[in-house]
Amino acid sequence: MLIQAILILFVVFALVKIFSRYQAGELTPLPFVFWIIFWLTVLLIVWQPDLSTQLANSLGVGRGTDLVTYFSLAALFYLIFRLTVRLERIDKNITKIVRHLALGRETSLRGAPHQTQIVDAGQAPRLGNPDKDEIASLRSQ
Amino acid sequence: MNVFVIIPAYNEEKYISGVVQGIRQENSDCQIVVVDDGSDDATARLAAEAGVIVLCHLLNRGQGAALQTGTQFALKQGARVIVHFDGDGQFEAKEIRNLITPIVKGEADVVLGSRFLLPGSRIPWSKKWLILPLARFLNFLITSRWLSDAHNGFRAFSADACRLVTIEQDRMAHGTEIVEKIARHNLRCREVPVTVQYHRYGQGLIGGLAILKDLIIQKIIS
Repeated sequence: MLIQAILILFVVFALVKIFSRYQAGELTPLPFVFWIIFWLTVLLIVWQPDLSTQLANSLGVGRGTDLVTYFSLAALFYLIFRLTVRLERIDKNITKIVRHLALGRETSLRGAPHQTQIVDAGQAPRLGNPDKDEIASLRSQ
Repeated sequence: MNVFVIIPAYNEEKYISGVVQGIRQENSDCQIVVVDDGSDDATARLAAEAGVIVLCHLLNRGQGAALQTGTQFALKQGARVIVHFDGDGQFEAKEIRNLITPIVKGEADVVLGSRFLLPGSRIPWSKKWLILPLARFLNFLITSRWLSDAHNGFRAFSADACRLVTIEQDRMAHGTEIVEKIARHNLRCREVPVTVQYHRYGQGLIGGLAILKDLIIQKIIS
């Protein structure tokens, strides 16, 4: 069937990519083995669809495709969960960096009534109100 | 008493000068810290021109993150009392005294403002009768403290309380987080009536759901 040929081609492409990433040192052994097993399983199911039906029947599911759909959905939800947690951690780390910069400058813009002192690293403090460009340049550093 | 007023501000050029002037007029001995949370407008410049300390977040990180930045700065400067105040002019500067007095007298560690203890606040009806009662109930479930208000941004802390109540929720869930930590550390907490003037609606139902999501994720990753 045409769909089988397309899927097999895709699996071969994925396997080649995994090998090349492993050789380039971008993939550690554990994820490498996981993805190889995953795509070989996909290859087996595409090649022999009856295998998934037999497995489905033994688990009490009617069709092989249904079983694959159930597992895929569960795996996708788990992946979304992991990504959400990871994004949250990255978010918190960004906040730490932003806070560190804001506090590290010990107020780039520090004011006294009607006269504002602008303190910038490497420069002697000077007096005067900051304009929009100065604030932008401090931000862009 | 070394009192620091922390004002998180994101695109508040319309209100920030007035807010700062109001606080200065009513509380001349307070140190005012504006945390510009990555505004796109002239908030930072206007605050600096008003002569207050301005801390700049390079990126917008949320109100909770800005409050924690200001708090850390204030503690480093030797603050004895730290007040959280909004930058959009919805709170009354003259009420700062009412919040800090129980802390100065040693009667409380944390004082929370409440919109519902005084009739003066003009609260949108959907917020008053739907969103806030729901938020109060959820707050009770999460924090086990039953308060007359939920997520009121007008608060005061002693320095010691601030060291215990560190804000880890960057966005709006810090309101619940603060109450949870007050309960966890068994801090002496008091509610004081405050007046709130609404210039904008603020947190709606969608915002409430986002807060819930943030709280759940925090529980999972911590």
